[in-house]
Amino acid sequence: MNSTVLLFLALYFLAMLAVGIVAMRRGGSSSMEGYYLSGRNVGPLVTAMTMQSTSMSGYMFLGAGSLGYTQGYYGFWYAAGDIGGGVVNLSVLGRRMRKLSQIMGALTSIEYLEKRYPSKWVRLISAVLSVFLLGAYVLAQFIAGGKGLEMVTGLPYEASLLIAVAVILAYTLMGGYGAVAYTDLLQSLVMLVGIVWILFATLQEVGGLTAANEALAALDPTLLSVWGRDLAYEGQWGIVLGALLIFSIGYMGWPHVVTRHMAMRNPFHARRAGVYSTLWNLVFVSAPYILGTLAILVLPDLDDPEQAIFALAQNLLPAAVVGIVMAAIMAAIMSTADSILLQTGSIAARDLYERFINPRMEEKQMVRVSQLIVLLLGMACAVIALFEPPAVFSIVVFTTSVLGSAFLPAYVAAVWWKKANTPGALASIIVGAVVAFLWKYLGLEAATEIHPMLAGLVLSSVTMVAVSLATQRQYPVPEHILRAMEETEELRPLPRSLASRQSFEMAHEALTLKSAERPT
Amino acid sequence: MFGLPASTTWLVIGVPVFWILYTLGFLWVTRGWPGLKQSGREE
Repeated sequence: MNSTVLLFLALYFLAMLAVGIVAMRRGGSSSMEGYYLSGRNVGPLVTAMTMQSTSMSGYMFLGAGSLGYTQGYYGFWYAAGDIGGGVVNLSVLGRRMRKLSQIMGALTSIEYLEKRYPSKWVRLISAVLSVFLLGAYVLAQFIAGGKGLEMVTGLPYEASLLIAVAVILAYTLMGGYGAVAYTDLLQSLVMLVGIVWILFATLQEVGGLTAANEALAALDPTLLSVWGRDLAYEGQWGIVLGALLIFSIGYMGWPHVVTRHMAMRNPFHARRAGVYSTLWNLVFVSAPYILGTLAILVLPDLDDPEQAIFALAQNLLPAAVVGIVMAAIMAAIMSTADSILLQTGSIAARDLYERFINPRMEEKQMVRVSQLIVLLLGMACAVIALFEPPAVFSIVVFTTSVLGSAFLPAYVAAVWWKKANTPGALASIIVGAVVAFLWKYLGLEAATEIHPMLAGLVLSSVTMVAVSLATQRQYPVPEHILRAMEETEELRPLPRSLASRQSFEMAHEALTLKSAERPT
Repeated sequence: MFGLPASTTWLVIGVPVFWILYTLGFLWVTRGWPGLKQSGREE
């Protein structure tokens, strides 16, 4: 491997560690709110970029390129949803979720669900589901990170994996959410520069987009169709709509993505963050699919389609620029891996260990426990990743669908529908997860031509509405939650009494304590 | 456009245009949001 490329990568890793140190010095690990949410002090640009780079994993450089290479313009169905994913999330949930989570004093997106839908079962089922699914996702990203670094440096897979995991663990442990968010900002810029550079070089090589499309049509006209090579997906609207949904509204059900709303400095920053998200997506999201398609012309005999973008970079760019593209690939993988690792560790620590096993910890102690769990989880995933278990990727394929189907109605109804109650949320989470899982597991996707996400989402939404309405009389939404939702609707800054982490009056644990203290 | 069939052009150009309009619509709907320059907390 060229020494210039290695130099770029080394600089990139050092920059990530430096951000971790800065985040630590700014108090990222001195309190729970600091470690989990960077003290709810993240600005709109960083919010937008951490949301987008977390959502776009190494898939964008490997899977998206492969889809373009094998299916031509069909891949744009996925890009089409992705472009709007950030602004949809921020416009629907952003301001309201930020405000409600602060009023209720929630530090994780699962704790937020329990406080909005008071029941330990909501928290237990959601936390177990998240830890299992996100844990598999961490594992897959670690494997991708090891393979990415192996591909880039030529080092053995085991050494590459350990280097990638060590860097991610170091800055995540040091700075918590702040380190993750600010490294994500840097990584999103690296991803953007890398993809734009390789896109320009490839377009120059093929003589522009129109000439390239004419050449593709001469090879196989169906490559230009929206239905894939040989029109393999023609008329499969259930599959196509599912693809659109996963990447447009599906993010609103991902616990590690909606946490970004809770960490914003100001609820109104959702507005600017939405604009930044769209701008970044417009440039970044379509490029990997276009590159994969154009690679058919530049590299017609590629053995592994997942190598399409990497091979384009190696063939068309000078060594120094290849280093940037390689860093961009690592950035895409690491920016997702760090966020999911932190979120999984936080949920395991806060929503399982503290909530159900050891609730009487001091704040500093809780931060240390969270760091320890993140470390243990990271090490466990790294050890498993060494063996590259083949089942992992088949789990990850529907991880996103299951998460989206399970949690999306619960998160959206939490801020928009005052009749959404605990039984409705609980039933919706269970139905969404089970339907999306079984749809994939039993092969119903092929039989019905309906995507698991579409099936899961429709049924979990219907369940939320039907069960909430049917149980409204027996399980009305508690008064303190209705008042919190009314405050959330208001277009005004939080009153001072609600601004400092948790309102005693509004928090349901506090109400329970108060009533317990009353003489009977 | 760009040598693409009409349906593909709609997907490649039309959908991004839709998201640009959605973002502009979001900006317009939220033009009255207060506190954009100050902290969200009451001083």
